[in-house]
Amino acid sequence: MPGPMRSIRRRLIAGSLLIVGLPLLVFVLVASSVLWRFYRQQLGADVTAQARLMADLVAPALAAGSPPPDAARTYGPEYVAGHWQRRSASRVTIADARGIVRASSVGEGVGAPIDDARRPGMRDALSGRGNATAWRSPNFAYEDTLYANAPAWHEGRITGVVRVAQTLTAIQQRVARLRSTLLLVVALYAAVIVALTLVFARTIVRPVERLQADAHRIASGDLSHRVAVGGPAEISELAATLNRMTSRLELLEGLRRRYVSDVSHELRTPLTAIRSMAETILQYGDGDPGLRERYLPRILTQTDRLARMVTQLLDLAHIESGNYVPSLAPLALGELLDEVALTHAARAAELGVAVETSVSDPRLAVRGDRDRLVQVFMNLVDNALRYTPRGGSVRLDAVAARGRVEVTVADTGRGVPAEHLPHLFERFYRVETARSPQAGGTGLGLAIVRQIVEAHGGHIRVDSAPGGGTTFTIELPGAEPAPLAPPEPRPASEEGAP
Amino acid sequence: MTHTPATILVVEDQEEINDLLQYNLGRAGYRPLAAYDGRAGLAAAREHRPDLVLLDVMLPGIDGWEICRALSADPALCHIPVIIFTAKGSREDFDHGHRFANVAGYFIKPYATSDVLLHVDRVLADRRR
Repeated sequence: MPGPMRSIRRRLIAGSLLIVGLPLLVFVLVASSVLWRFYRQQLGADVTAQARLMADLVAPALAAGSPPPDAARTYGPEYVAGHWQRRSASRVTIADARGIVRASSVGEGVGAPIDDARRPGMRDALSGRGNATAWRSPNFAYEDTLYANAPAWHEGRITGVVRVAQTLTAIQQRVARLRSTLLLVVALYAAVIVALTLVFARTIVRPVERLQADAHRIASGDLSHRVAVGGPAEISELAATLNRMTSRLELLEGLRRRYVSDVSHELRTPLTAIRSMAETILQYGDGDPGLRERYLPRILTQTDRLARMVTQLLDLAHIESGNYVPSLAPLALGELLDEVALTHAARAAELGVAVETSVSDPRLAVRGDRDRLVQVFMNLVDNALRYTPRGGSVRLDAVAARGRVEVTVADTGRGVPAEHLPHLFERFYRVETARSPQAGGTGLGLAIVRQIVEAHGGHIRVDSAPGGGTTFTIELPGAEPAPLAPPEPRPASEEGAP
Repeated sequence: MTHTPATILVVEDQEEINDLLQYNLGRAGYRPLAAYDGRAGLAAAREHRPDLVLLDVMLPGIDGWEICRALSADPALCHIPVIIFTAKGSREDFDHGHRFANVAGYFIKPYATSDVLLHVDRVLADRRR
């Protein structure tokens, strides 16, 4: 089932976003967080410095009590708090040593004791505990606030406390604005990445899609179609391979069609003859007795030929299917060739053709499947007898040649014209141009011979000269010489010899 | 019979089959002619101007379709009806036959000789009308 990431396009987009977009996003988040910390620390330091400065300023006035002397009035709590309010965004609260709020920049709680809940840490500073440090108040009003409490020291004692507070809203807004600007840039950049990846993916995906469409057409049966070769190297190589494969398929399909057509022709032709002969005998046989005499034997011959052809077609199909693996065993060639000659003796005598065998070494042996090799030589001798005129001969000779064995089947027939030789082992190929079945061949014998020889790891070739006979040469893997006969028993006199 | 017997040329390379057609055509009252390859068939058609041609497709030398084409291209011979025999019986072969106007029949081997004779009768009767 195709998942969301099955397509090349999607994978490329996801990949580039992951590689480029994700780090950028992380960078933006980290940068805004760092910036936020930096601003807050800065503000904390500011607030602390302000509180300390004001505490120093107001300490003498607070020590003098109320009402302060003229000199101290200038830096009295009311003046400082009010002045600060005008100059900065901070809120200032000043209390005296008794904890009474003396001034507030927002005018809140003046004259009353410090409200711990609203102004935490102020009393601690007054009693000398705690430092003038900035804290972030979790519960002050509704905004996050930074504040600092600084004790006012005058002549070795604490005369009061100054509190400076500032909200974080401004820097929060600043950081948020910066973050959204960066995020916008990242989003735009991601869009550019996606667009570029799509353009880039096209150069990969388009050839693949074209390939797919072409391959689909071929798979649907159009074997003459070829895929377009192009795009990235891997894809054009794949396309070229696909084309080679299709060419091969097309060739094989052509061969198969021709074969089916040939088989059909070769089976239908004798059937036509048989049917016509039977039909004619039935129709006119009573009035023309010569018809029966002439055609009934022909019906038998044609039927036999058809039966032989069917057997040979099945043999060929079996050998060519690849299921045929010859069961190899050492075979004495002399004996095998004699058997072939003997089988044909009666027919050869009838035809007036001599069949002779000779073996260079009586122990000469091949490795092979006995029944199939007999079939090979039977077919060749059968073939030779068919084309050898009365008084001629068919010779079977076997010689050893460099670990292999060469067997020749030579006749003294009329020979085969050179132009036919390359096709002699093709199925249904016939040298005669017309009216061939008279000779009785099926056109399959030599094809079977070659298939069997090649299945044995052997090789067959044919030499012929018009008028000079035809020679088939078969080369087969040799075998260890077969033991000829049990060794002769030693003379009894030697028995007791030391 | 008042009219002269029709001449029928049989072009078929299988001697046995050709001979049997000759015999059956003769018995049916026709004047049969035999040719055993394409070249001889074409020569016989030109020489004798038969009334009908029985033509095998698979012939040595010139094949049946070539003869068909040659006959249909010759103004003197294009009117001669041709009955085709084929042993292949493939779809393409059959389609091929329809490309020639002079093809008057198509038989896949093995045919029934009686059917062939019946068809010959019918084609010749059509021509006479």
